[in-house]
Amino acid sequence: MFDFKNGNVINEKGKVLDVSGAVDQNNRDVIVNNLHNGLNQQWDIVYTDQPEPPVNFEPNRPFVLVNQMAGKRLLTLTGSNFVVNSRNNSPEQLFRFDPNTKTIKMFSNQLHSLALSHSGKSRNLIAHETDGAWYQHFTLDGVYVKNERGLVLDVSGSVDKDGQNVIVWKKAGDKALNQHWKVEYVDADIIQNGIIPDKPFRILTKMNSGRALTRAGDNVVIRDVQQKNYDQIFVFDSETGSIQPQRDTNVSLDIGDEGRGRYSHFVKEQDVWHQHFLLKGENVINERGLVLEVAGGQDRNNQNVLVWKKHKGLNQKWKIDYV
Amino acid sequence: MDVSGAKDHEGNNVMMHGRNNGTHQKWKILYLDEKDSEPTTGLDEDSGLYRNRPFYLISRLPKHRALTVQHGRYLRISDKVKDNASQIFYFDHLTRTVKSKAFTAKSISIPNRGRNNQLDMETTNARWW
Repeated sequence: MFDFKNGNVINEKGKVLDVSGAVDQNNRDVIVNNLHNGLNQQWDIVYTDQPEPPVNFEPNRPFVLVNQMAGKRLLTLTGSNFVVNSRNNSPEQLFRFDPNTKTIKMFSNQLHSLALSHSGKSRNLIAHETDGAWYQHFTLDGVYVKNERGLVLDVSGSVDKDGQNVIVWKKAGDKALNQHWKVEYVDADIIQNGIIPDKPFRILTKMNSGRALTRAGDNVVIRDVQQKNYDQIFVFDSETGSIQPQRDTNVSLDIGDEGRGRYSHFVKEQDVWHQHFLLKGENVINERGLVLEVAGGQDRNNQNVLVWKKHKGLNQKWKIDYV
Repeated sequence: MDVSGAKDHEGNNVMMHGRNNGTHQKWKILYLDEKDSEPTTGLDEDSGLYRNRPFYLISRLPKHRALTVQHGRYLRISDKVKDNASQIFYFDHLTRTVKSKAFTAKSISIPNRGRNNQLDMETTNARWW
């Protein structure tokens, strides 16, 4: 005999239905356990004669948001503002739903989420550092992307052209296609920029040798690619936005002298700006704009890798090679 | 007439025994035309569940999977499929148990008379487990 109380299915001995080990996988056993009120012990009763509850975004699965006007343009980040643009397979068009903060994060900057500007006082949509506040909470409700106060994503003025601003607005009825969006889940490998979180890769120079960025103690150099050289394999930590050796994720790529220097090295991971890097185009770029470069353009083993202002040289161009 | 061993559980024997004035020997005659009609629908406030109203039980883990009866017995979570009877349950007000739409003779139950921490669908017995 079980009762339903406060989200728990509980019996008279105080035992509750519990998804074993809190593992959220198909065919996972459901058991009874003492109440600790973890999410794996919480349930919703959905009566079959009730309307289907809104389907939310699938957690952490990369997606693009396609507006349903004739142009089928995609929600796109430009600077820190959102517009619609034709599909270009850039990370600025790729998003994931973070269930912990209940926000939509962007691949082009994993530390930022979709937000209303001015802490929710404006209707304009921007990318803002994730803080999990109400003005960053969005859910999927049928064809609408809705915020907590019921406003929905809206292509401003129903103008179906590249670069048109995206805002939030009151629902305008079933025929307002500028407010209709389709979530299209995609394989993050299709993107031509950005770094796929938590997937191991090498960083290869686009100079002739194609040498790999290599951790040499604390230093950063280029060396010939060696299949079993684990000092050449890194992961992008989506939580901190830093590049870390796969086999030692306690350290991150860092700009020396707490960002004041021009050398790069590996030091303890601290989630600070001088450890935040992204792939943009062919550059591995720090949050404040300096890019990784092979010192002096010398394409030889053990040549240092440092940070410098962006220019057009091949010694600043890199390729992410997932392994 | 005596409820055997004074055990108040579904399916227990009724026998003849010497009078001892125990409550298990006391009975009340309830004439059908006088009996208050017992509701078969609506919210059962003790259990927090609606009587005989089919429902899915959806985990609040991020994938929102549904409690599912597998192989007629095991209770697991799996992706919710609309109108899948193995994922539809209802509160049976007569036995005060949660029954499966796919297996109406069974209720959610803790095996081994409540001594396990597993959970199964077992033939309804209306005992605490």
